[in-house]
Amino acid sequence: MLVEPDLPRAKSSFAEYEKATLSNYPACSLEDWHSGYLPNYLTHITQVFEDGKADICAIVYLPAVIEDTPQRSIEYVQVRLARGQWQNLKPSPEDPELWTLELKRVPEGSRLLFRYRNIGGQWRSIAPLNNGESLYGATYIPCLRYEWKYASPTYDHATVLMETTLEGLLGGYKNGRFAPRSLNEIYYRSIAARIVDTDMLGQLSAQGIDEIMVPVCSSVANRATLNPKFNYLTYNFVDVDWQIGQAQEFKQLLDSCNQQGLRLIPDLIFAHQVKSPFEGSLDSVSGADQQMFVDEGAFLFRDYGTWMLNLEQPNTRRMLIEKFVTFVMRYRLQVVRIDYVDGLILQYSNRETNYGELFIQELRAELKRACPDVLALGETFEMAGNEAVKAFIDSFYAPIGFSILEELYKPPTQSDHPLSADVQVFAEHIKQVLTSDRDEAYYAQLHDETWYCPHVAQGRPTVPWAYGKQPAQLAKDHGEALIQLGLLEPQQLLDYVRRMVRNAEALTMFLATKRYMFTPGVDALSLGCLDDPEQWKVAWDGVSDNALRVWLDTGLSSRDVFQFHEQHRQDMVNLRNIFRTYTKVNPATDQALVTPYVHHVNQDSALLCLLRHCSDPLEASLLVVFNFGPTVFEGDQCYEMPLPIGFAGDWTVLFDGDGMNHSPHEQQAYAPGTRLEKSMGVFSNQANVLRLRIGARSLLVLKYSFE
Amino acid sequence: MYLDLGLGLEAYLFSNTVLNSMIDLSLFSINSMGVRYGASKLFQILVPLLSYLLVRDLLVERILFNPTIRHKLKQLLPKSERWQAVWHNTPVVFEQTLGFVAWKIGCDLGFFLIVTGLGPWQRAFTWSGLIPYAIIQYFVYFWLGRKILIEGQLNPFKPKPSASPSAERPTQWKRFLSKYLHEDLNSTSEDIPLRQVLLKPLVDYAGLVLSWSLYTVGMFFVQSGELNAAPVIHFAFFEMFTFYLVNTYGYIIGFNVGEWVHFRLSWLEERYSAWARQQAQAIAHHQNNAITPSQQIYLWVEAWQDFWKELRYRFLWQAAPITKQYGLDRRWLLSIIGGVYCVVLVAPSWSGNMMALGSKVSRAWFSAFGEIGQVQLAQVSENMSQVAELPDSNDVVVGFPALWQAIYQPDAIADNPPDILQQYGVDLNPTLARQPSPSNPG
Repeated sequence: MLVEPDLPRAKSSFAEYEKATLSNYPACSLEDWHSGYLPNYLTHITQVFEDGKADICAIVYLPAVIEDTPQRSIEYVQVRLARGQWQNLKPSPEDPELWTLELKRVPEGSRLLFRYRNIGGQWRSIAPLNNGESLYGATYIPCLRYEWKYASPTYDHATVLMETTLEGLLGGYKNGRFAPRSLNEIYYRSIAARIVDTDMLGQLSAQGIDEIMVPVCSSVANRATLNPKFNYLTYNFVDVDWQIGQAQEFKQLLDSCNQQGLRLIPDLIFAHQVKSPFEGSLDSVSGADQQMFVDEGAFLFRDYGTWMLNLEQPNTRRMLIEKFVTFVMRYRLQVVRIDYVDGLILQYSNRETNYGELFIQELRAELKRACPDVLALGETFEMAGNEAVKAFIDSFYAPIGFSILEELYKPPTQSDHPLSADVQVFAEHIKQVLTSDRDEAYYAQLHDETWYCPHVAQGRPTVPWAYGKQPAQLAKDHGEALIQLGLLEPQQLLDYVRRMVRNAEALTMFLATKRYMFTPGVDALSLGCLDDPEQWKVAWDGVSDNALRVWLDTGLSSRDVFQFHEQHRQDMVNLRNIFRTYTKVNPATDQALVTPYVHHVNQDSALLCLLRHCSDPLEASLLVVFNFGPTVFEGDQCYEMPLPIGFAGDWTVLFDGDGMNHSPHEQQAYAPGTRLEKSMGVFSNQANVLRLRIGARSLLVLKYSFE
Repeated sequence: MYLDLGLGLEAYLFSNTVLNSMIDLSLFSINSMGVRYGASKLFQILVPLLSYLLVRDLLVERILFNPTIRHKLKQLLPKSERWQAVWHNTPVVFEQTLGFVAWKIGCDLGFFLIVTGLGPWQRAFTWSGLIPYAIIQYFVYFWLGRKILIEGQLNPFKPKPSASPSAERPTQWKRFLSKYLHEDLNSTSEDIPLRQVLLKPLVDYAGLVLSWSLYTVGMFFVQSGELNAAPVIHFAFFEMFTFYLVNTYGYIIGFNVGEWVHFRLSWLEERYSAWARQQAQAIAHHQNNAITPSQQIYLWVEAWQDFWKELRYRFLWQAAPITKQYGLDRRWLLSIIGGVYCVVLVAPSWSGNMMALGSKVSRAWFSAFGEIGQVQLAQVSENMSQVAELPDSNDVVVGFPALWQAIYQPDAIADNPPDILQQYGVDLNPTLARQPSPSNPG
């Protein structure tokens, strides 16, 4: 036996969560399993033996509905282990809504089925939330023997987060060589196990990515042939979907991420649950014609066929909180993404007590008590000012790229200067953004903006050109409008698209000081929408067949098309690596050490320059020069960029957007490491300027170097 | 030194012999029976694939009914639901028909014409064979066998209701049975329901027997107007059973081995990928240092990959949609190579054993239950009672030169015929008389 036998049982009082205490057991597999948090409302493991068997505390929480209370007999809730006999659970003397039974020496991988008597006295299946593993209506005893090998990564710089899906990463990797070809194949090898077999995580890390944010909750999605929107039709509250993997497989995946210095951020989607995903789902559990877990007063639903958990019930809230905290602690998560927090708050906006607020307050308190270092990355917009939300969320979604895209892709017919963006608009927006004192994660487009989302459309009705499609598709639409006006040649379209996408993302990224978020479509220059066929697969390299046909129609050769894409990927990796290297964060206090400013704006030339000031060391300061117009500054017509005050030294080129690995134009670009000296301005009549060569819709990244 | 050379040569010859014999044993221990079975399986894979490529994708979709024509046809079509259903269902029916026909051609070329040599190869392409075969396959195999028996649909015309995913983790033994006892469309899988694993061989066999024998009946009927049930009654049931067994289960083993090789290679590639990244980082971080041997290997491999990338960027991208559509990747290639090669390897022994077993069973059956009628008995008795008056073999050997000369060189012994000719009553005169006179040609 690996752990002490006398596991302390819960006390009767639930008010202070005293039962959910940190374990004081010596390091052992049970400690590895639950990481120190024991729930009261969930079936869980109490002891682990060397042969892999475990003692189980089977728990079913059934809220009492007044009418059916007298009918609750000793034969009210039963559990069946594997193919054995049904056994009665007994009501807890401390709480009659809790039904429990100790099961001794249960082999790992065993299946538990639960049932209860309904008001008519018939047995009905129930799949209670648990701290084991779930496969639809069945609970499985997990493999408890996984030992963590690597510590979670810590970063001393701002992080780059890619929002994607695990199945999408796998499906697009090497033509889907490692991906399941059907849902049934996932039974034999999960998504997590398949990913661990590959070098994918190492490659992601090498691409300048620190974090991947992925939906892992149980959902009705088929992860072999994904409709990505189905990932948001979830069940079982917060749980690892069986398709993602069993507990030890998911742990191994997280450990592999740790090994590569990657952080996996689960996208926890619980603001609504899908109706009747299987027999015995919580929404079907009823007594006296009343569903026990469903909030029947709910009126806001994000998708059809969903339901709200009844947060009015205190014990239901506690069960959910335990489920959340056990999930976070079991997998030793550092950051979790909370989906659509606003949905919770608005749902209860028409009641005397806002149970959504109450729920997140209680959840926050328990998280701070049990795992204070866990950071909640929250998707909240309208409710961002709500006090409960502000207290709950550690890092806020900040879509600062929205305004950039709105201006950048404004239809030429609505613009005075169709070929260039109004950088003054950018400058004012940036100044406003930078006044925020919240911890924020910046992005231009995430999944909701790369497919048709009614909420986004509702919120931004006047700028339909700035969302609803992949980044490259937005740029392509704009470029095609220019072609129709005769302002752009068709053969230039792909180059135009990559430069526009790069500028939009780079401007968003270099404004961030803590976290920059993007989607795989940025690097791949994906066309269409995220929910188009096959778009759920991450394009790791090359060009999709459809996109290739589109670009060949513009008159480019296949080689040109491939090389433009290859160059774009490399550029984005280089930019991210520069961002990560020169955006320092104090790892102890998590404070940003870089402050961005708008250093220079030239509306006529469509040039905008950001200064990223780093006080320690000053040499980590950057100048990022964006050309949002069609003018090429070179030769005698170089751009004279005034130097920021306090930076009298030279500047070294880290990145020049005009560089092409496979093109003779490469000679026209600065090589990385080129040192630029200050000089006297010829046109600008300023003492200290940098004479810069910069191409149309390009960008330069310069690092400060002392004299 | 000579000794050394001699020993070296001997060792070389020995090792070469051993190597050859090893190679003979492990790789080329095949005979014509194996090759014929293997070729048969190969046809069953390639003919349907090529049919879809050439007939559906090229001929129908690109030439006869290209998108422009299809668009015009659709505009001409009445808008009623019935016609719209016809529009949607026609490609499905066409593809199924093409699949059955192509499968039949592949099997015909393989089994009847190569394995058994029962007819000329053109027989695989006769309309009088293809049409009845496709119809029988459609009704007997697809509807009755697949839809009703295997899938359990009492009404095969109704679309199958989507099954909910199982809430029970599949067991290892089910996985094994599925992977090693079932093959469909030339591939294996771990997630075949047990019902299908058990029933499919029966349905396959019944389908093969019925479709092949009945289409032969059809051919006779078309050609002669005679409805003859002999092809059904006297069908080579056991040979077909042997053929099915060897081709299916031999292929399954080889297919799974080939697939395993693919997974191992993929695993190695992933390890290489991680290693290559380390080398690239080392080169980037220590640009002034000399290149180490491992880094040099990495650079060579990268140069090779760049070459392939260039080929892909210029030419190979054009093949990508086709290979992607049909799943023609390394997994497919190694699996079918493994499958066909395994059939070649196991066919001689498996089919030999099966046939021997069949003979034994037949003999045992005859011993136990066989009866001989009066007519048969009379025939056998008559043969038994005949007494052959054969010469002594020694005399035949000794006298062979004289007898040979008596046939081919009667002139040489005409003056002095050996005694043995007289002993056997050989008369040289008729032979001499048949020979043309050199002085009187023609």
